[in-house]
Amino acid sequence: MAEYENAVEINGLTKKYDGFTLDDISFAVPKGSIMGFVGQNGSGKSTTIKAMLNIIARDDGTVKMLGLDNIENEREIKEQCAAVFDEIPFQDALTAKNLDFIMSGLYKSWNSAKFKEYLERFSLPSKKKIGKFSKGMKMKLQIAAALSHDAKLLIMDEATSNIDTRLESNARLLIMDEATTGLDPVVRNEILDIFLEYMADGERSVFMSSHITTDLEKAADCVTFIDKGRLLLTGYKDDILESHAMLRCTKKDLDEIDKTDYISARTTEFGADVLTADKAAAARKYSGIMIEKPTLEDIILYYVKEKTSKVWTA
Amino acid sequence: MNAVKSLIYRDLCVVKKPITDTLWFIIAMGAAGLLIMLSIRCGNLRPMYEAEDNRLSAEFLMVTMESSFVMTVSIIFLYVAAQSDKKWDNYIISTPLTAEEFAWSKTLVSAASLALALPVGVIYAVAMGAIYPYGTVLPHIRLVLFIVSCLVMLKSVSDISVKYFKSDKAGFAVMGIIAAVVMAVMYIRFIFLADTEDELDIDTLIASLHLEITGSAAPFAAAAVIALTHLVLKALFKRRAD
Repeated sequence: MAEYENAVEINGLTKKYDGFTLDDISFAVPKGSIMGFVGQNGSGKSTTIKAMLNIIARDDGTVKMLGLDNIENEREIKEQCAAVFDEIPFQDALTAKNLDFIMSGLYKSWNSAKFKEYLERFSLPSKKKIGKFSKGMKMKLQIAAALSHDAKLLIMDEATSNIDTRLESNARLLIMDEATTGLDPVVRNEILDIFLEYMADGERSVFMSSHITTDLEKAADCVTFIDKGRLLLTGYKDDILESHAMLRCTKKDLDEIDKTDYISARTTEFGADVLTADKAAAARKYSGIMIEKPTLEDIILYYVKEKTSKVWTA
Repeated sequence: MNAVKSLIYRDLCVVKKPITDTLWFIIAMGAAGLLIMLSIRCGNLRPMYEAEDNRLSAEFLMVTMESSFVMTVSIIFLYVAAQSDKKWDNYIISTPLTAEEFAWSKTLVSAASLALALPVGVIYAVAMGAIYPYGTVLPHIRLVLFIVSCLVMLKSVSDISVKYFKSDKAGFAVMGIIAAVVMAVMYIRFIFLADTEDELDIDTLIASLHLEITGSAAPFAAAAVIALTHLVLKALFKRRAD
């Protein structure tokens, strides 16, 4: 495997469908970090992930994973990569034992002993039909399968809604698809403990897509926002939170703020909230206005609203 | 090769339930075959059967029926080999599996299905041949067997329809149209064979319905073609755009 700085590097990724275009998306997931990939339903998150996994053919752009082109080196990358989806992909008729055999043929580095260890740890019966498993058991099984072939990259599509702060350190790459959604807290904590172990060596990265921002705000090192197939913002979460600011002002103040100085503004019956991308400049220029730190959810909302209206009403 | 083995193993694990359904289907088809043979041999169609020209026609129908049976058995396995499971498909595409391995696994399962269907068809034909000289049965037993065979046939159509077309409506619509055409053709043919309207009494009608039921194996054959086409397309264009 090549040396690499970014676990994922996407440049100019474009995919056209009737009625939807994933348009010129570029971002990077630094090695050892957790990337939160955020967007509303239908914004293009899953399309991006499918293009990353080469499930769909891209129309333009490049995708590098673990330092390699995702098409030219597809097999090598996928050997080092694990995907966790929100929907359980294993048929009800299968058992964990069946799955062990199947996966051992799919991955050269499949570790049956490790898989069995996970089964024991999760109290998953090896001979029981998966169809008789609870949702939590099914998700544990999928995660056990994802972590039993020494993957360097774990992709979780729409899986971030329940990831907590313990994921903040030592991530490598994890791609999840709503993996923990709907799980009870005990199961979720068990799974999160496993992820923590998985990422403990600091070499692995996590790529988590979600339409829920609150958990990402706690867990992610980096965030990328997309909306309607277009990239809104990408970077380190702390940088984004630090550079943006929410100006709390009156409607009269809003009229005096230069439109180029803010992303968008929300008016209420009491005044206006204005999001700016340059906190320092706004602080200097509008010193009389109260400035607060926005949340990731605020930032996304104001960027999304900007596409339709610079000033909008709550 | 390991990946091919894994995929075949997975298909065989998943196919257990359809195999059970298939066994029931075989029993139902066997009953239908027996009924049709007895109807021709012992019912009001006997004079028709004994006429040299019609004997040939009747035996032609028997051969057709047996072929349909073999096709039907094959089809279910083909269906299983080709069945689409988007969640699984997306998952395995995220693994190091190649399109060639995927195609090989499906091709081998399909070939095995056909190889299995042929001896089943032969056994069926031999069983029919053994029963043939002793055929006599009461009309109400025939009717019960007829109804049972119809129900099992409908269940099989429904299973395939829901699993393959993901909707009983779409599947039934396609299969229903094909079945209607086949039945109409067979019914017209049967009236033609019966020669006079007087011979179209209840036994003749039941016998003709048996033939129609047997003939409705044709939709399964059509589904096989669809399944096979899907299989090939899926293998060739694994990374199809959603």
